Amino acid sequence: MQSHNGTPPVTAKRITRGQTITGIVLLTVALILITRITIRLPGRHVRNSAASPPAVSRIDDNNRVRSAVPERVEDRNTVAAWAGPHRQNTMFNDGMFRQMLSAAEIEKNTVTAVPKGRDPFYDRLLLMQGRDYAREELMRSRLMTALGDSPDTLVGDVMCSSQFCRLELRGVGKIDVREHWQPAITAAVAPRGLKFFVIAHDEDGNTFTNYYFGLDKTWTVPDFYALGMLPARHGERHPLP
Amino acid sequence: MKWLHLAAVAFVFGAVTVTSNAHAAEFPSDHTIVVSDDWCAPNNDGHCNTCNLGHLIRGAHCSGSYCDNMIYQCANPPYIGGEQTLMMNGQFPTDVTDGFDGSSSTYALCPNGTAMVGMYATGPYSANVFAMCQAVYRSNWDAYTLYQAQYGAISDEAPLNNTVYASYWLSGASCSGTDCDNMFYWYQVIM
Repeated sequence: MQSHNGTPPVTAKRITRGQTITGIVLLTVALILITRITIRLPGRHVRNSAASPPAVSRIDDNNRVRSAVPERVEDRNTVAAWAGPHRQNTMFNDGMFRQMLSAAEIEKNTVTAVPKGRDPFYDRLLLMQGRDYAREELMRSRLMTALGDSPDTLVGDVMCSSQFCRLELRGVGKIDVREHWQPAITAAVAPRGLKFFVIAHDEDGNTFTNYYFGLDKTWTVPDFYALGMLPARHGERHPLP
Repeated sequence: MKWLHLAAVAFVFGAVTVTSNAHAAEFPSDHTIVVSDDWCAPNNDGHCNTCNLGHLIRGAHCSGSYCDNMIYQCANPPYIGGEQTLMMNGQFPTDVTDGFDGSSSTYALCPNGTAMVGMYATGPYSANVFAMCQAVYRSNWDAYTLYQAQYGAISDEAPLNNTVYASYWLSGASCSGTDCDNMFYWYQVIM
């Protein structure tokens, strides 16, 4: 298109290019905004730390640290119970899983191979005797009734054999186990015979404990020597000079 | 004949004396044992790494570079609720730990309900340690609960005597730092 005197319509062409550029810029900005809003909306409550469940790793039957991310429906229910019923609606979306996973990765790198706050001899003995799942459910139910509503207490694993049980509790900050937990536990699970707390604290000063208790008054200190439960790797780690 | 009888008595007395010396563990004056790199006192004969039979370890401190001389206070088990606690069954070793395992290591930890009755230390400056354990006996545990927790570091720079509670005993050790410099001890208490 040319003017009548032969010069090109420069002004008209420049206006068209400017409008095009402006349009592209506006479209890009709009796209960016839409994208950000779309990504943010489902995970918004993740930023609310109060809604986050505790990133607690668990120890499996082979003394390995398991991820804090629940692997089965039962595990999800356990974590949901820790957080309380009013938080279940926001428990298990992808954002929270990502957050828990990163916490678990951090913990995996810092936690020692041998579980802190546990007694490996009794753990092994319990597995040797065989687990009593029905009793575990009963004990867990009683424990949740006694401590499930406590705002500063997390109920962890419960394991039982035919002779004794182990249950795990975690609490925020430094907790006097004897005053704070023992009366409720004693009333809930009716321990008999030998019973003991293994008390430990994490790096942030939070308290966690495992309570081992007998189911009968004759339950006493096992003869680990006679049971052949010597340390499996005695003398093989860090070979002595 | 009388001479022969006296000789026999002397022989038996001598044999008993030699045997008891060979198995004497604690210093008779203060009932401590001293354990260090590949040796122990008082007799340095390989029989002094554990307390006298029936005793358990109630306290610990150390001296020397990298805390390598570990001094353990042996004593009777606690008397609780009108009942003397006793020791039973055989002694058995824990696993070995060292400074690389760190303070939270449970390799050299006795099971609950057992007490630390001895310690072995090998390597330069007692770099590797393991405990000897023995079960505690009470006729009835029903009225009492056992608690296990861990003491902070004991080092040659900050010796600490742990014999504070009447119902208390040590149940294992861990360490951190070069050559197991900072010793940590678990204890168990009946309440």
